[in-house]
Amino acid sequence: MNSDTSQTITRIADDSEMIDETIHHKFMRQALIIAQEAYDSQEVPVGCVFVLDGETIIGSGRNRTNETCNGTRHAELEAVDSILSTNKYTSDIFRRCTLYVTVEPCVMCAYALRQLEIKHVYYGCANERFGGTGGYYREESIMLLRKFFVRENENAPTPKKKINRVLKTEIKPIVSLIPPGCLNFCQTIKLCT
Amino acid sequence: MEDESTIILPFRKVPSDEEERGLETVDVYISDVEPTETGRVLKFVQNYCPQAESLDRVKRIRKVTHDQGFTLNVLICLTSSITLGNLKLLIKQHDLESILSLRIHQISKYPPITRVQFEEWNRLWPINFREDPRRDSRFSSKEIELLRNHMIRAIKLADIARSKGEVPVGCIIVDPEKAEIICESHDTRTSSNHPLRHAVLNCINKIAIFEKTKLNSINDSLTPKKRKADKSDDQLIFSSDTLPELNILENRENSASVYLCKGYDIFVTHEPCITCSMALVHSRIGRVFYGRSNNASGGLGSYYKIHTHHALNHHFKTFNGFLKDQIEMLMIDC
Repeated sequence: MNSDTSQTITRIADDSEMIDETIHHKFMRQALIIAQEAYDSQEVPVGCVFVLDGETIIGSGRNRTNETCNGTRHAELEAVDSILSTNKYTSDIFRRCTLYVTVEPCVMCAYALRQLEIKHVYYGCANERFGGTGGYYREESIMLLRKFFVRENENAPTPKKKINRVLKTEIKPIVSLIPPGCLNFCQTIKLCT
Repeated sequence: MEDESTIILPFRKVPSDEEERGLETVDVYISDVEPTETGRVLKFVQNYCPQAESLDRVKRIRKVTHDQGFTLNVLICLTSSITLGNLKLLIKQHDLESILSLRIHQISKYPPITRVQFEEWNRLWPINFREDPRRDSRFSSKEIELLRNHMIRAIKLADIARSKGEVPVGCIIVDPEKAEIICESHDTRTSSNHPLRHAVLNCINKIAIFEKTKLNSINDSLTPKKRKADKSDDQLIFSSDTLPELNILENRENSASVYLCKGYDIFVTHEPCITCSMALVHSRIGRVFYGRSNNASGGLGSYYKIHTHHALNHHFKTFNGFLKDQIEMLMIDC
């Protein structure tokens, strides 16, 4: 598991040297590191960071559904709670925040973000069968999820045997030409888990 | 024995779009056919007619009775499967011109899901229908009384919330098997300065904390401890105070289905918002009962029907309008 972690992080670092680095890459890289932490803790590997005024990370979160026995403890809600629990900020702070999350938010989180009136959301890979519009570090996000879903979930009432599952490495190219990441909540809330 | 079908329910099932769907039709070719020729015609239909899609939902032959006896009609195929010209050619090739006289008719586009749909759509062209017993929502009057008490409790919680200056929404989660209240909560978004502290989310979180504590105590009790009294003794034993926890473990194993909110009922005064509705999917809730609909952001009937959505991996029955008048009379509105 440890070598796994270092490999992924190294690969992220390599990428940063190769690609045209934008501020979005920088923040999404942070979200990916947190997603990896979730993976290493046997959780669904999704991570996120909230960025205030496009400059400072004021909170981060990752999936903790297994640890907490709570199916609603997704990365976004974890981060929101951690930000509000500091008493440093009131809830209107989210109007000045941008969210970077490795996987497209589910309906629960998407509508929660809308209630918080978040400014922008950038995500790594789409939720529905990992396809969709693509984003920042899409491939890394996909591979992390795939690695997770070939493992068995000991917390399920009857864990599925996944012994025959093989980790796929091929990642289909993005077909859509929609610019990456920016999700407009006023237009769509996608229904998917 | 009381007849459950005559009981008037104090709530209404929130149906899926498929259950509410009205009759939609597609065109098919049909023909009158002599009873003695049906075998030959059916063989032709089965082996040589192109079928654009499965027509398992309908019967192939219908019997139309009239003053002179009856006529049989055979359904040949969808008009979208083949043009009339080509079908006539095909019929000629198989020497059936004298037997078949084509005309266009309509059949239901979708298989019916409810009995009401079946009875209506069946009049157009006979349908194969087997009612899914899992869709059945009958309640005994005793059960309704229990459900009513739970809803009254949820209303009470909404009233408590209002008296504390909170948004007046209350909810309780119940284990219907044991008729046991698992957890109660109300909205706390005002006092907590947290816009997401809705009644439903609060209740789910409370249950999780409860489950987590239970789990921890089991894990603790299973961790071998050194006996304090005799430090020289290196033998690892279970401390005697762990016995009650071991009982919990036993209980837990007996009720092995305790996974999130699986199988539980939730009673909430108002229709859950989209976030809460999806949280209930994530928590694998059993059934939802609510009073007042939420036209602005309701996720279980008003804005979305998340409980019936095909793309999701968990579905549940939802009932609305339960003690709605009482909720409105108390002017509990959010």
